[in-house]
Amino acid sequence: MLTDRKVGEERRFFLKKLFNFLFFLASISFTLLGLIVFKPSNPKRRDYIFYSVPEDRIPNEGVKKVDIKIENLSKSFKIFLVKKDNSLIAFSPACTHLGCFVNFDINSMEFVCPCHGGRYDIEGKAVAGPPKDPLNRLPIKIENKKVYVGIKI
Amino acid sequence: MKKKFYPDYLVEILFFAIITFELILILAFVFPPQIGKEIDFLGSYKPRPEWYYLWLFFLLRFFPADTVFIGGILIPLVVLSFLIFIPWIDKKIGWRLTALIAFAILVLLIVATLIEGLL
Amino acid sequence: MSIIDWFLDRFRLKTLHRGIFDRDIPEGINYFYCFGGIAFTALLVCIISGLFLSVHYIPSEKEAYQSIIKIHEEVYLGKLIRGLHKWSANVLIVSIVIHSIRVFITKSYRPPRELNWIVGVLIFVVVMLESFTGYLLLWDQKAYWATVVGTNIAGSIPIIGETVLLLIRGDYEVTGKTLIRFYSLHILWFPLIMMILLWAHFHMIKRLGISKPL
Repeated sequence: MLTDRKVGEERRFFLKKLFNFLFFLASISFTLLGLIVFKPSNPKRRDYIFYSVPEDRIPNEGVKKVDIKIENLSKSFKIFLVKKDNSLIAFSPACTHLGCFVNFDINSMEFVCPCHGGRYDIEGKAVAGPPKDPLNRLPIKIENKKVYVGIKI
Repeated sequence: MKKKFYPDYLVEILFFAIITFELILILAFVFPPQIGKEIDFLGSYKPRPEWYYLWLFFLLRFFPADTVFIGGILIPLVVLSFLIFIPWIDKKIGWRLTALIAFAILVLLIVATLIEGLL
Repeated sequence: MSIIDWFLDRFRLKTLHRGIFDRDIPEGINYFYCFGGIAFTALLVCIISGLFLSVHYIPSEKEAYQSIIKIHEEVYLGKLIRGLHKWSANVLIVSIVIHSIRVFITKSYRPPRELNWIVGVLIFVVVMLESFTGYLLLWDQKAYWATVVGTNIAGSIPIIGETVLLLIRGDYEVTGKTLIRFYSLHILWFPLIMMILLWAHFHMIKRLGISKPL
């Protein structure tokens, strides 16, 4: 009798372990499946596509905001063109802090981020506020005297 | 006479439920939601979150790009684990001290929300 | 009446009232004890108005904004339902905060109710995540930039940041994929988690009773 009860207890103990293990397995597989499902199928790092800049939007000296129309997406995108010491630089407007789009403040000649007040000077260097990295530069191509700026979109 | 759950407290609970519903209804009528501007990447726009995330937005002012996760993730997690472990913290250091810490956190949150909201 | 009795009998719920109505309420509780109930009412309003909104909302990059305008202007009572959804979410957050302050001041989180406190904190976290994912569904300027900033915070975690960012956004940028992801989280995942947590919360209140006021 005693041994019978002991065997029963052992069996119950084993079943309990088994159920715990199955529960553990189910939760692990659910988590893994969730991660797999949430993983994007093929995220692409976009390549630069070059868009031409209208001639009247190229600054002789200083900064100009250029709106570039992307035809096939029916979207528009803004970039900043800076001409300084005869060299043309194109800046992406995304703040390097958290990705808000910066504006150009004509009084202080600085790019100002509206989110947390980060400031960049005319060469894109971070001068005040939380950002540390300079504004991202976009590649510029000049062909037949027309200016093309590369945008990732 | 001792008040019972049924009917004394139940009536009060239902009364408050109805009051809450009325309050929400009045708010919805008096301050209807607006339609925001359509997404565009051209104009200048000043992004601000809803009021209950303003404290987090304010906190991020003090963390430069390479340490954003400290302000954005680590500090909220610390506050959260403080909240979760309050029953044990209370046992360890006493209610008064716990209340002091909790009150300080609450005041900081409210002040941060107000500063960011009024800015 | 007999058909109700029949249903109750078939569900073996004839003694249900004993669980709900025959509970001990300690003496000396005040009106601050109502805020849990107020939060639950606000949550119910949130769920019901959300059910109605989901009928007309289209979670796609091109149509989301248009469908919001349609709900606002064309759908009968659409503006009111949007208002209910928005304001009940606000009332919910405020009343949860007041409720948790009440629980803290009356020391109700002490044993045996520690787990109930933890579940409550988790409910608050889920509510905050619900409101964050609810943002983007409007697909307007505020929604877009709030999501850009919010997901960039998650992306700033060292080492695993980029993976987390991809899991949340579904792409390197905030796009239509992010929208549909947030939609699913907002209307299915988080409410489901919240249901389970709420059940645990109420079950423990029922079993442990309301704490005695000091």
